[in-house]
Amino acid sequence: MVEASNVAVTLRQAINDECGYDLEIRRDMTASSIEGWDSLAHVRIILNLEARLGTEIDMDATYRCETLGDLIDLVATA
Amino acid sequence: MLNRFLTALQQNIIAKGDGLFCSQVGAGGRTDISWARLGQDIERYAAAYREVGVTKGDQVLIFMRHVPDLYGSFFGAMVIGAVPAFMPPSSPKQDPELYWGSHQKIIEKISPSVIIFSNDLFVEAEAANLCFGSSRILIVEDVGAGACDWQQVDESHVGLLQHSSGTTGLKKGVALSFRSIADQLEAYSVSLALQPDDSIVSWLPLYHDMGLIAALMMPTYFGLKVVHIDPFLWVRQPDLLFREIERIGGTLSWTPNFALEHLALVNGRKAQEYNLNTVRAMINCSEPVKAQTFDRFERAFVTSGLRREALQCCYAMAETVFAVTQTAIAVTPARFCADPRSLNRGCIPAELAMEAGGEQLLETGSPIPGVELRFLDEAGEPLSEGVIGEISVSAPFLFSGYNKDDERTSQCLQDGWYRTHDIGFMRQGRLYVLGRADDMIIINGRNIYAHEVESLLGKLEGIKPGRVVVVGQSDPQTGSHALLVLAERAEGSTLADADLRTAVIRAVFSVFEVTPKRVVLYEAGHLIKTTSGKISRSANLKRYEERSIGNG
Repeated sequence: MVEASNVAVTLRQAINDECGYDLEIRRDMTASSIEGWDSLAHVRIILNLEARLGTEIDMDATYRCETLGDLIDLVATA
Repeated sequence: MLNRFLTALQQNIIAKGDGLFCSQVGAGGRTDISWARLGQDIERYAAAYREVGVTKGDQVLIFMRHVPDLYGSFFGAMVIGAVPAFMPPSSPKQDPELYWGSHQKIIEKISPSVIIFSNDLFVEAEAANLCFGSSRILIVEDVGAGACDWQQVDESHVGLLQHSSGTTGLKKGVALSFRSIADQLEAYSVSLALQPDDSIVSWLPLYHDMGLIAALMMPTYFGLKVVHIDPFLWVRQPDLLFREIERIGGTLSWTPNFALEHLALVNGRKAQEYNLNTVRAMINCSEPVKAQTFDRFERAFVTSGLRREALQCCYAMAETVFAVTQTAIAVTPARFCADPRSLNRGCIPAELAMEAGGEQLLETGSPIPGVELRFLDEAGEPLSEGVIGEISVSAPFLFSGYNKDDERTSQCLQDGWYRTHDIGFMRQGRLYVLGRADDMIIINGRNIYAHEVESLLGKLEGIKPGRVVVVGQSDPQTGSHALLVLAERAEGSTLADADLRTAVIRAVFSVFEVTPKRVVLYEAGHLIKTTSGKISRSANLKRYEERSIGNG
């Protein structure tokens, strides 16, 4: 288990790494509203999160997340 | 004259019977399709087309996801002399109205005799108010059993339409005759040293020329085994490509540069789990090939048995059916380290060591049999050998023109030569491709014209009409290009910047299937114009990059 607030901070870093800019994230944001977050970047962001958090994330489940909040909760409870 | 393609297809169906034609891999698992089933599906669809009145020369647009009916619906049109074209299916992230709306113009322009949909896509298209005009509609799920004789279709007849770029009404429908298709496949097979026991593994969509020709028409013609992986699934699980190569002992695979980067990044750490020693050629094609990408890929998969010389390059385009050049099989592609200052049109590239700032270029190969290349200056005049110019191609398998677009055809196709708008040069009999002479941007293997994206965004609420520039930036993270949107806000618009950015991303993705990497919004009057009053892509990109560096 990782604290959701830690996941949010780490997700922001992963987006920064993979999309190339610092983004203030909100739980209600969707991936499709974020510049550079395409299907390839999605895989890179999740792998980046895994590496940073040292945890394994169910890739298929990430596609069922509608918002960043859902993704943060998924990772936090992994 | 004997139609070599349809004859080969028929002979393979008869001779191979229950043998494997294609393994289709999707989210639901693997479906093996035999040649006999392909033959039955072809007849089912041919009968369905005949029943709704399709005759020779009629056009058939195919909207389906990754399902076995793709093949029967396509070849079923061919065997009665109709002209099929695969169209890209929508994806969940696309706005259905924008996506289907982008197909309205093409349906109006070409008036296909039949549009065939899988039911889910038809429901979507109808809900988006797509107007079908006089086109008849066939639903995959309604096509029952049936039989139909194959027609005599002359080789000079158009065999298929390949929509080469974009998803707007302006996109080019490349008309390819059966003769051109067979000539290309025969010529390319020589360069590939194709063997009867070769097998192809592909994740490429069939509405793209690389997937259509290399991974469908070629194995169908030569009777080779092929695996088609659902492109949407492949992005999530790229190593499916390796698993399938290992399962069938795959020998050939084509893929754009970005996909090699994606594979290395996602699956490199599991390299020892794969066995790639059956691969004769993994061919980098459809976007600029990068030496660094080959180095990364090779390093990542050295423990999987991948041979260095198996990494190959090809230069291809729909207008020549497919391949123009191919690197020598079983030989590591050549590299040339050039002085970047000499890489301009009209110059002869000068060699410069990497340590001194040289740029390493990777060859795309030598012309395949029958191809001649010329390099042109800005006025369209041929340049001396070795000088950088616009690549112009002549080949026996050149396309016959753009579908219902004589003006565009006459601009590009003159006296048997096709002007590619690609810039490159020959060195020691090998082609090096440097970039584009027009505003086309290649992103993850997709060809996108900046002016088409600008036109779409210029009409978006919240953007000042016409005040948008779209440019491609090299993206080392993906090994491809990234799309950058610079736009002015409409005066008086109350839309928040975040909402406007979301609207821009949604519109571009829905129509072009590409997500902009950056959307930069400015106040009205910010974008720099040229002396003729047009907004300058190069000047605005330069200013953006200077400020980005300044801020970084």
